[in-house]
Amino acid sequence: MVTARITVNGKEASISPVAPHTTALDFLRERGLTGTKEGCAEGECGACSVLVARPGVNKPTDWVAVNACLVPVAALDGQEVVTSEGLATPGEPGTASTLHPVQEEMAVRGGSQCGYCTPGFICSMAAEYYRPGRCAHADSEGDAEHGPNGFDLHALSGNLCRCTGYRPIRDAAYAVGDPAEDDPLARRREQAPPAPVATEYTQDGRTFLRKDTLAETLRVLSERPDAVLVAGSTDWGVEVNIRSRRADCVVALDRLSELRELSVESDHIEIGAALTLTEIERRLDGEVPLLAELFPQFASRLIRNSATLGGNLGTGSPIGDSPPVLLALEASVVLAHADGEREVPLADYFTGYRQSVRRPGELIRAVRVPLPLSRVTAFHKIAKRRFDDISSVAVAFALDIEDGIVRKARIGLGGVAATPIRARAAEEALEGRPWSAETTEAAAALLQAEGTPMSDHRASAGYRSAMLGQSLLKLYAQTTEAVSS
Amino acid sequence: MTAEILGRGRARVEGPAKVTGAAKYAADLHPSGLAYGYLVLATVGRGTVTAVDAEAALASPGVLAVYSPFNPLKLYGGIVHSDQSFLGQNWLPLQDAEVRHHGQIVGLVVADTFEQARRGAALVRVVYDARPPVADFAAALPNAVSPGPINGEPDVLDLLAPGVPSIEAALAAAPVRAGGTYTQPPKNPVPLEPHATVAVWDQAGLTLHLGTQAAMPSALTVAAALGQDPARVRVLSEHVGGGFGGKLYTWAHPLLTAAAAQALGRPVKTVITHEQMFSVTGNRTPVHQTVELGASADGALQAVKHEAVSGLSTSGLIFEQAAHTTSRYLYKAPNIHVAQKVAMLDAPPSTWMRAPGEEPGSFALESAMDELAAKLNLDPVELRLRNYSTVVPGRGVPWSSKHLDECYRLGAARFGWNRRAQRPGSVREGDWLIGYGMASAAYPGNQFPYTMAKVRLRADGGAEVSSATADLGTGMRTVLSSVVAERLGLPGERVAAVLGDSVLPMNYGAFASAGTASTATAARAAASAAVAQLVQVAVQNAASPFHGLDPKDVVYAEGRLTGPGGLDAAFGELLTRIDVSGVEAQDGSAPPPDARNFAVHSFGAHFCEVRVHAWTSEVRLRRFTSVIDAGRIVNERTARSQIAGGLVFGIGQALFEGSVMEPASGRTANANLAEYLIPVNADVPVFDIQFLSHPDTNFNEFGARGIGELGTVGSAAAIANALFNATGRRVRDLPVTVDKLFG
Repeated sequence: MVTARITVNGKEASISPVAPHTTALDFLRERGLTGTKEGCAEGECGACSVLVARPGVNKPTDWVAVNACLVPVAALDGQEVVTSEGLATPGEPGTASTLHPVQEEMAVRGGSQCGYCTPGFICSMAAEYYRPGRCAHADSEGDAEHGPNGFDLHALSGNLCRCTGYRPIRDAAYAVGDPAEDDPLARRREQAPPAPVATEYTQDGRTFLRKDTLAETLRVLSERPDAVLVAGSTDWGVEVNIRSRRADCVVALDRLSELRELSVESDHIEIGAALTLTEIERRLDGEVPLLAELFPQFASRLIRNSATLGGNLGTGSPIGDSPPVLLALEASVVLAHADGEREVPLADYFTGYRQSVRRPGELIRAVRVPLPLSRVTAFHKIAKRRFDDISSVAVAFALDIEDGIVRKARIGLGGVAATPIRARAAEEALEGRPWSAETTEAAAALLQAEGTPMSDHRASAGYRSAMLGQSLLKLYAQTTEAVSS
Repeated sequence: MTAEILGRGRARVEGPAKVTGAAKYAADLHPSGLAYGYLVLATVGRGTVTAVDAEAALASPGVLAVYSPFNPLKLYGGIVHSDQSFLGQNWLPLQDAEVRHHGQIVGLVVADTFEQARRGAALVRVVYDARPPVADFAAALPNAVSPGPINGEPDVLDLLAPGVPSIEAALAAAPVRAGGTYTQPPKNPVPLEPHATVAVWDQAGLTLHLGTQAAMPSALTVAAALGQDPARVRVLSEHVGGGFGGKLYTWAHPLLTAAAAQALGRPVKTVITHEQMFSVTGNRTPVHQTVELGASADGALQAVKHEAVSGLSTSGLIFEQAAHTTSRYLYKAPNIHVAQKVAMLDAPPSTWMRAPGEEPGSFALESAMDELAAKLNLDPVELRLRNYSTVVPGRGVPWSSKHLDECYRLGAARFGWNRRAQRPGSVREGDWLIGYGMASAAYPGNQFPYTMAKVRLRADGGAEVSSATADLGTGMRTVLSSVVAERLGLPGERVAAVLGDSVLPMNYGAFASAGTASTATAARAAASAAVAQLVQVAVQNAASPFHGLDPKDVVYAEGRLTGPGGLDAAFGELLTRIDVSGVEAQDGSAPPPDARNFAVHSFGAHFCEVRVHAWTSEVRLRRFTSVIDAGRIVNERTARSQIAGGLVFGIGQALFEGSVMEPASGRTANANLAEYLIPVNADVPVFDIQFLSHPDTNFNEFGARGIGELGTVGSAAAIANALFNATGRRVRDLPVTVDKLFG
């Protein structure tokens, strides 16, 4: 057994002898760092949020907030973690510690009530506090989702509070200034992030494995077809915590450099399967408008900081939020195997409920989005709650409209069948026809008949079907408004 | 200084501890030698456990014990739910093999680590003889029965004008009628902190760390179940991560945890998961209501008929008393009929949840009032003013203090209610339909039968106030510190508040919005008693410069004693000089002796603006104005948070919250925070919360009434009424999901 080590609030600690399925949350709490709380144990409430040093987008290192309840502590081997306890500066013995600026604002503005969600909010807020470029976006007014200090309210979308009514928390978030010159966490951003380390951690007959390279990882997969693949563990963590699943072998993909590249070629964009959604969002910076529209709707910032496109496609959920968008973009997946690679159009990838053409020993290395992009795109996620919710139905459109004629239409649907699907009949009804009320009404009628939506407590089948058609009518109304205004 | 301490309000005193993670909740305690408990829950909705196979669990690494109906921990029966025993259900866990509802505790696994305990629990195999549960509320309605008297009045109460034979006759005679059937699902308080307990035994007995709203009743309940002398059981609850009613009663897991710790000779911690919370701890019952209103053409109510059927778990104990708590008194009407029934369900225990009774009742009544206003083509505020009650119908007594009319007028003015379009569905901005709605709020001003507090003045010049209440985020620490600091004339930071411990002076706990009225009043009295005690010591102690004086000649103010001839000493200096570490005194509070001469309620008026998407019916709340009449506000900052938090509960009630119980199995299908939706940050609109300032000295010396639950009352109706105004669609079945608005 190789010992795994983790740096918490500046102090290094050995992970052993905890069991491989022990979450980072339990590990921290067992060591007395009980500021980090367990709420839901499934990444919904954010009470367990901690800061992790990750490869940065605009600086060498970013402080990123993640759900400690979902990450196996072994996955943090060699990494740096900061908790709410580590943000305050300890005082001289016998004196109070100095609060971190986000802690100060939360305490003064009443952002903490029962206090249980508070350390999680503190970590999410601190991550946004340290986000490079936050203040560059600052303006004196702010908008519905940003403070005058550039604070992006979505940073808190994965944190639930049942007491305050959220307003004092928002007030605190919008009041924080810039990090001071000598702020140690701000300075840490200027140095290289912790390097990925190979991990082979075995306890009680179960193994957590992280290899250095894709080739080694693929070799392991061919020997261990039972291995569970994880990147951000946002899905697997729920399986472990809520459904009591255990695996003899868990293989981590999240630090493999071959899965973390993002390149823009002449005819496609290739997105590494192990890039987090936050990394993709920040690195694309709006270059693919349909993805830019997707990201804020995808779970929460805390989840997006860990979750990957490879994971969202790999789990094959019929209500995953990325497949409808990627279907509309005509994306394909690059599947890697010890014997070589193949590229499969996403439209051919899903074969049944949580099933795909991915073979044993194969993993998703990258997602390719062909260029050029369609000009008219929209993503409509209908959910009960504004953010941090599962979609009742999701629809993505990518249309090429030239001289008023629909030249190409691609429509991806989620939540209406056992797999994400393309709405082929509606696409055909649009293509070659004028972009008009008449065309869209006819296509909406066909769109409404796509799939076989179910009734459940999220929405009725009738409403789901209706929303498919309505979303096209809404898109038409929006485009014509844009033209007329 | 005084003005700063009270009124506008200090920041929460324990804020720094909470933002740094230093504040300890029950699950944060980690005594040495700790073992971990994990519950095993029934997977059938009704039946009998016929066998438990614990072999694999016991063989799993670290597992110490598997308790089940066939290897139980001894608990003593005969606990009667009473004033001081707060057992949340009518049976004790593992004492028989009966399964009374899905998710009931059928086992407890204890292991060296949490991971080993939950792994062990997953390996326990339980065999059942299952029977179909009664779990379909709609199907159970026809079998509903009388629950007996409600608040000392008949469950079917008719207050009819002379000569009116029945409420039906009064309705039939009214020229304009409105109303309907209003339904809502069961709900769970889902505090962010899951219920947790750590049991530690030593020679002195049991110390139980337990997140609870009521430390003292919990200690008595646990002592009874374990057959222990109550003096040997101490419950500590320093910080509580929200309760909302769910942490008022004592549930089964602390009893088992304490018993397991005793049996194993080790401290044991059991933290229940959020999923388990839906069945191991209590829920708000589902409610089915009909309201019929009859009015004359000018809007004067002639008849109010409100009948409610609430679910009630066969495990007990509490059901929503929706009509008696609202339509019984809210409006002046010559004929009022309220009725309550209960439909028994094989469901998880039914318990109190924020604004029990008023939450569903106000939704039904205040929706019906909006429907009546629409039929009369009358402004909803005007309709309420025309039916304003100044005395309790049928009893004739006035309110101790009531300024609801001012709430309506001020709220309407602040909100810009005059811009509301009377015709529904007539205001559109782009793709969004705009609607305005309003509703009234009223919640009883409660005070516990008696409450004690202690104040100690220390030689270091500081003071401490203590009482066995809890602070679940209500701001009770801050309120107690401030009230005592104001009375003593000390800076707030010199007065520490100590609570969350069952051995402190008698306090029922933190619930029923009674905390400030009960405990702040007691604390103020205790502070006065401590000052009197200080004066006594000053004149009696031979080393004191005040020795031998008549106590009447010694004056306390601003932390100093002064006397004739320029005698003057800060109390800390005096105590130091006479070598006394501190003086202390207890005093209490109780409802005023003339309480029967008044009705006591806190009041409010909510106004809200919603937007509904024209294409998809998605709902966005834009803003809320709430004007609150709750007597004297002790701390405006924490009070505002309480109202805002209450409003968010109303938003949850209106748009999101509801447990989905599978009729065939009795299983809660959405027992987790991913699917039992509570509002997120982005769902919450701008709140404009205003407090009237009319101290209610008829109620208590301090003039304060409760506010913890008031925000929840009526806010769902305000939203539903605004949705009607936006769309013309009246939804009477909560939550108002988009599919109900669409089409």
